[in-house]
Amino acid sequence: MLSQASSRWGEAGAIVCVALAAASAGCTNGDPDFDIRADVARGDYSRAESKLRDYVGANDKRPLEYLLDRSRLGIVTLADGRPDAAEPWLAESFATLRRQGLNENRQVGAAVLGESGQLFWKGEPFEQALTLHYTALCYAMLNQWDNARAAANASLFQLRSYAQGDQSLSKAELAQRAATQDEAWLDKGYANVKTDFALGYFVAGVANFALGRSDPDRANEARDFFREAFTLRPDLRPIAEAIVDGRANTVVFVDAGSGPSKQRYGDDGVLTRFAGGGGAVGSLAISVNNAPSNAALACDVQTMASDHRWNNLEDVRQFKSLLGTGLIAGGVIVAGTSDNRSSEGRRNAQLATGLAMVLAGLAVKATAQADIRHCEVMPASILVGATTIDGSATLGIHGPGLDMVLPGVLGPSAAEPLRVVYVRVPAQPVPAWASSGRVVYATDSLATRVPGDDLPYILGGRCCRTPSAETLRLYQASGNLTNLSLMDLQNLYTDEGITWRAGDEIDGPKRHILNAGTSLVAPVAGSTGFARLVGQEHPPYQPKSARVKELAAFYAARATTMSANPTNTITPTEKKP
Amino acid sequence: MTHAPPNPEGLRGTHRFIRSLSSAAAFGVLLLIPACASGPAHMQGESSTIAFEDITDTAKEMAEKLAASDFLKDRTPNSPPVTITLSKVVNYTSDVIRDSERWYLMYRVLDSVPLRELRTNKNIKLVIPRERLEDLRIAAGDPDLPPLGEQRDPTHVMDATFRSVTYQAGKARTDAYYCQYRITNVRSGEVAWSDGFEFKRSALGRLID
Repeated sequence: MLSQASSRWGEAGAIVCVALAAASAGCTNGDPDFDIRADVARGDYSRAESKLRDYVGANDKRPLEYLLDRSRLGIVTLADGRPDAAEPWLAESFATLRRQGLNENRQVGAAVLGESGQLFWKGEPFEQALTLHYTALCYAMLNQWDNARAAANASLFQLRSYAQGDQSLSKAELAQRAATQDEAWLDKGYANVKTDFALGYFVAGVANFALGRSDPDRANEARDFFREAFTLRPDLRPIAEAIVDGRANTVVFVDAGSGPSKQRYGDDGVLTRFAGGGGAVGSLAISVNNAPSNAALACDVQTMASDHRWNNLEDVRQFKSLLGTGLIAGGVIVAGTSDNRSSEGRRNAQLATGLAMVLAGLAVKATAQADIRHCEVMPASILVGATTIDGSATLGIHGPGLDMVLPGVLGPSAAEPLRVVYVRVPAQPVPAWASSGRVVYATDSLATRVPGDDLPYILGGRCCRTPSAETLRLYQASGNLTNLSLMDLQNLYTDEGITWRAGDEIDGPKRHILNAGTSLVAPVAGSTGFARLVGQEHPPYQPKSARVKELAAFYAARATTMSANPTNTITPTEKKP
Repeated sequence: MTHAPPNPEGLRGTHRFIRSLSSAAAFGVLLLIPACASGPAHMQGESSTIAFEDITDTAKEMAEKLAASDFLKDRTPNSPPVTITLSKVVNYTSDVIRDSERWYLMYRVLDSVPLRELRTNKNIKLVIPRERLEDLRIAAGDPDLPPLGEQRDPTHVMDATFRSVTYQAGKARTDAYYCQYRITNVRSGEVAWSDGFEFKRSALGRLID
């Protein structure tokens, strides 16, 4: 009898094992991508961009991550110094964030089947505000100040506060309080409050100020936004005043550190918190041509992420966890107590019922785990500065153990009211390319001469400029490519499958040829992506077409001849390809 | 070695158990599939942003208004020559309007009247916008070409401004948009033509979800 009873419980145990195995084979769509986070920390935005582009390409298989993939791709591409390439992704993110009720009628399914498999990822409110900030930043970099204004204004949405008066309330405290309240409290116990997103107010001020050159209403609006910003963060006042008083023509945005990651905690992992970010929060300084410049912390992402007003609520997840626990316990009991006196059929039916309950419970529990999808590419902190740059300057970012040097930062042209410069600081220790200030390759982004830029990179030189008549003249002035026309030069690139205009990249932006890609379109000078691209040596180009192979071999041979006998000025002439 | 005879009742029981297990497992799998599937492919929800049809409707409406305007109607081949250039739409709404849409909104309005008709019957010339000269220069890729657009010499500029007002109550949001077009004499500053078009967009649904 005892052994038969043990056998029943043994079968029930086996059922639990089967069910556990089934439940643990859950989906992985919701797992954060730590490779991308690592690429971003290293400053290799180009690599992260490639991977994220694959995600976007696979959006038919991961439609719930439509916004997550686009916002990540836009932010990373912007950090790489390609606002033109980031714009489509951020514009789509903006349009998606403007949609209401994206998860209407999905909450019930999510309560049973888990959020990451059912809910469209819209991000926590702080992630939404930051995505809108990057959209505004992108348009500001593109000199589209009206779109920057629209995006910055959109980031200033109202928040839901459950705190009384000035009382602050963390998300963990809110969760504890919710547990003691009735279910209606979460839906009715909050007040809509004005945002405290100082960075959003500041960017809205900058955008309106830029528009204010031709519209006095916008200039007045700029002052109002700046006032809101420095009321929240007094350190922003001198920066805002420098802009309004015309003592600055360039606004610098610096992202530092890695933003917090979303982690599960609590019983069954049904609650989430943002933790683990960090790096250089609030301790950075900016210099322009070695002269210190104003800078202040405008956004502390970790603080924002732990504030309950900047988070979604966890009530459904707690409910699901309890439901899951009840089902499993009940299922095991039903299966285990199928008594031996019952007929075989009834016993098996009881076992099956128990199994179904256990499976249902475990499935619910497995999926009840909180959704930890999040935008892994957010920084830990965002600083802003204002300075004057006439022509170009070298920008320095300094902090404990950090000296980042960015050459070729351009001030505004005569037609531009302001210039926005955006720098993302790689994790420390910063790579040599970020601190050397070197420019090893010539590109269209920075009008400066570089040793070896009298020959295209694809032929063994260091020039990655667009094949134009001007560039060809530069080569020919050094005795290179003297028999080639502009069309011949352009054909060399075409034969290699290399594009040189952003608009020619049919399937979207490609990686730069220095990154083993097929594009000559370089990041904007002064960006981190630019420093990484031109501030270090890259492997020689590997030609594909016969014409380029032949010419590259010719110039390699000539370089060998000349280095063996520097006085020999007689060199073979190249054949017209 | 001897084999025990199979127990038919035991076998039937095992089969029944396996069938029950299969059914239960199938139920469990059914529960898991929706959680792992990537969900509905389409995006749900509503938006009060400017839609593509708003852009096309605005351009169509304004084209009709311009065609019927005194500015065009009263002109003859002997009217003083007018050279019009375009300026990109200025966006003071709560939405992002992408560059391609902004240029569409301008070109579509002027394109509604055939160029030949404008030139021969109205003595109106169209010249490329200043912002587009740089694009042309890059496309040409040849600095030996004479400076592009040196002889544009526009007498008038056509511009447009989009504005919006937002009304929000609970889960409902409405954006009222107003688009104003103008043709201004750049020398005198006189507004030669101005007209507008308005529309509304509403959406219902949670903003934070």
